[in-house]
Amino acid sequence: MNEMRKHMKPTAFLRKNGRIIIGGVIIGFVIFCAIFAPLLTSWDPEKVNLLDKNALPSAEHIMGADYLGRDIWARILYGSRTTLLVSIGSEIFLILTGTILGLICGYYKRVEKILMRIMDAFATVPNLLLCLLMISVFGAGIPQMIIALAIHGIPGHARMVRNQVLSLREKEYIESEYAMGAGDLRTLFHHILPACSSYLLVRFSNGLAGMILSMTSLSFLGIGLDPTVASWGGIVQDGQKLMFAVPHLVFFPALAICLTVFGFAMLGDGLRDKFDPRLR
Amino acid sequence: MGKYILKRVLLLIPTLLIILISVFALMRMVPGSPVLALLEGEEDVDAQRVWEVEEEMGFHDPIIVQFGRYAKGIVSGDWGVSYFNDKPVFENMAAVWEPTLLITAYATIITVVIAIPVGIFCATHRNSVLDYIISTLSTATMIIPGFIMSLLLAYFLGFKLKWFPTIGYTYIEDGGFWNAIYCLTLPSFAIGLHHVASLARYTRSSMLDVLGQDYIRTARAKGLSRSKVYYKHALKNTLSIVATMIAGSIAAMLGGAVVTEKVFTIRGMGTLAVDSLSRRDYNQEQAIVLFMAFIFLGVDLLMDIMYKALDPRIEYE
Repeated sequence: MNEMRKHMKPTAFLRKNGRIIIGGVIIGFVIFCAIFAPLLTSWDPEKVNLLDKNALPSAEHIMGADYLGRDIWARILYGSRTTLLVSIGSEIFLILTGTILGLICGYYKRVEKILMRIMDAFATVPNLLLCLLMISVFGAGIPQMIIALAIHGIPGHARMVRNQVLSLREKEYIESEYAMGAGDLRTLFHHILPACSSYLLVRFSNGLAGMILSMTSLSFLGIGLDPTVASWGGIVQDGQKLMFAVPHLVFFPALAICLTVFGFAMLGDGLRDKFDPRLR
Repeated sequence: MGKYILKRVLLLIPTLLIILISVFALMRMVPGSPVLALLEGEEDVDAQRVWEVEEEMGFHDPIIVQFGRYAKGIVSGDWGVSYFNDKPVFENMAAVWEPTLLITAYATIITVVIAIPVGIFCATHRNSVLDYIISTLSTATMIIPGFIMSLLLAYFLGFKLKWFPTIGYTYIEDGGFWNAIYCLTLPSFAIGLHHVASLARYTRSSMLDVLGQDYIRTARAKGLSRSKVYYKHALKNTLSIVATMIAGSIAAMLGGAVVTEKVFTIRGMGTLAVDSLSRRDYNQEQAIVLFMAFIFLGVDLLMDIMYKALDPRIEYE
């Protein structure tokens, strides 16, 4: 493998890893902006300044200001924190819960039957509506949102993990592990889980793009977060009423959303081709 | 075939039961008892009175009895009353279902009509320039969330070009069927375009799978023309695979309607769902979720039966 890499031409390397690089750079940039938001702008995202109402992009407000005169660039920067926190948080929650359920289902037949039925039932409700129902019951807030967004994807992921476990169990090295007297838990965590890890990584990065879509849709509807907290969907919603007159209110946050989704999608596709070409 | 349908319908029962149990359990977790909401107007409410009303509403029965009553209500069509306007939840939904179902149907048609030919074209002209252009474009529609797509269409086709209305909906009763369809064009495209990409990709890869099979090579080897092989043998098998995918996207479209209706200020099920949430009208909310779940199950069932009819080899696990 190393021998091959030495002789790889730069163009071939780029073609092979181009998507990972593009996606990585975009996502790296977005995360950098989220972490260092206070250094990148001197505006307070919450500060209302009616003199600058609907200001066009200028040297002072590089992306203009919204209907309350709040700087859009600052709001996008600070909004990326909530958006990324909720999206990444719920993807992690989804992967963790789904993987544990999938491992259990792949190992214990009886539990599997019940769990699969429950999951089938969950899959019948549209994702956004399920989120609405969860948030109406448990109230608004970041933890509630993380769970609500994750729930719909858990069944599908658990099923994929289960399939992986079922196929891995047939392998000789797992059988020999049993023959040597290993228990279920040891096999699961020492052999089966590591064997699934590349799949899990790919699923994680691929799922993030979809998660950003759902998260911004919810916050666009004004659901799940405190309305004063800046989030990308919320900025679009604020600008929507005035969109025909001042399109830049919507343009910049929409661009931020699409760019991030694009970055995660590229990263996910690139990683998939690299680690798990079968899933193509 | 009859046996297959029966088996498939019987398998729905546990799923339905689980949906009911989950929604019932979720509703029991709602903070704040509905009794207090009922008693809001009354003066000097004490624990005694609360107890009486709870007793009246059957809150002290064993949980299994309560669930039985709830399930019976759902099955017999009594889905409860909205806390917001005291009308049966079904009545509230009946008032707004039309645009939502029309959008979903319209968007499905758009998706199928665009995606399947495009997918087949890409498969038969694999790795051509057009194949690359189409796959790039489809990625583009996939990374744009539904509400941004709606805003884009509203801005360019609605506001700039003034081809379609960007706001509101005229019921079939008031403006006729075609006018209703005209009003819903932009929202339907906004939802449909998002799914075109994934369905086209799926069609392309299933067509390529089918084209790689031995019987296709045999047919070609025996001298059948390319187009005959493509459109007579491969297409039929591809379509039966693609049909199952469509059922899945219908659920997503119903969900997508929530956002799109909001952008185009159409009063449909989605708007009702969002509004009920802000009014904390749980009863209405659960009714909408159940209703959508039932629609999904129905469509899924139909698709499975169709799939079986198209491809008799299929067995339900």
